[in-house]
Amino acid sequence: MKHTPTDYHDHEHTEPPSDIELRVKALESILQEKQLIDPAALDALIDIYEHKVGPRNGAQVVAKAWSDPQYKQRLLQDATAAIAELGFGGVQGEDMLVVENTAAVHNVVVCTLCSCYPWPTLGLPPIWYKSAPYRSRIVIEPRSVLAEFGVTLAPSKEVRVWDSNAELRYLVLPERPVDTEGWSEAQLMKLVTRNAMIGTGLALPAGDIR
Amino acid sequence: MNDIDAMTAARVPLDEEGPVFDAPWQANVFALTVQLFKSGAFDWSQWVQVIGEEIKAAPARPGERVNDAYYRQWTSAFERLIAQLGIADGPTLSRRAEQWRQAYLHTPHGVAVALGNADCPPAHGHPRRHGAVAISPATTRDIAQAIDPV
Repeated sequence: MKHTPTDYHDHEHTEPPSDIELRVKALESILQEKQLIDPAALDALIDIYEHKVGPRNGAQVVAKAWSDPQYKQRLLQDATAAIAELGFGGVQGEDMLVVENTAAVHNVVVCTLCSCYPWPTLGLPPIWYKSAPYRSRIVIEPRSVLAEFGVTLAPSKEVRVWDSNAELRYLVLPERPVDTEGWSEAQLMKLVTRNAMIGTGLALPAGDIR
Repeated sequence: MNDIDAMTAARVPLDEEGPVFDAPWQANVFALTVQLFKSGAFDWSQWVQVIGEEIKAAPARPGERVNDAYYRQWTSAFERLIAQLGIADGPTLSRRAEQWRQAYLHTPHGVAVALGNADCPPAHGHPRRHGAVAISPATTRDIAQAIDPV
């Protein structure tokens, strides 16, 4: 860089950022020098994960499965392909498995090792999904953890906890709320929350959006 | 730690749909990892192995926010992966981070920080303003006399 005369500030230097920020800058500059990354594409990638990929994608999948029995069948048989039909796929969405909530079974997803999560359908994971208490406790005492999320299940209902990993990521197909007969997919989508697709929530009741 | 403390510490930190990243560096290290993965440099299972080990080895510290802890672990894991892949070893990364620190220290406030400033401070960065920066000489006789009477 050519050193150029600058404005006449009082400050002689720029306060360095925190150690971890410097480490990230070190990684970025080295990868850039070795031409292993394209710095211009980084911001676009961040923008995608901050604004464009999120649980609305998964909600679209769920709403379609509720509306179209054949699609639901395909979704349960080969989730990756069925989700790709709607245009969603890519990193952390390569190998998907959809688990269906029923009157008898409630499914909930965790990654006990780190934070494996289906990015293309749900975006990046919420804070609590990455926290140690959730990762350990949902396996040990799923019903109490679900109660903390406001989900109280009948004792007669079985709870299945699925551990996401590098090979497989899960999406919960929540039960369709009652009194939604004849609703369009667009209407149904509004009932599908992120937590309902992780299993730490249920789909909203019909009355919530009318 | 009594039982109530233990329960509080173990509580799941519920949130609404908040921001994905708490700070730009978190977004940056995430994006670097994903871009390098997309280039085919490593398998995702390789990454999961490394970050899983790192999360276990360096758990969240008391009072540390979840994203701060998580992306601290992520950054350490990515550094290890970079070393495993033979792209740059730990000492190289540390040296580079230190160069960045020096670059900041040598760069005047308000100027873009460039790595080149690490060991070469900008030459003309900050002239001291002891005197006027420009003088237009007086031309009228009166003033000239006042300053330098004949």
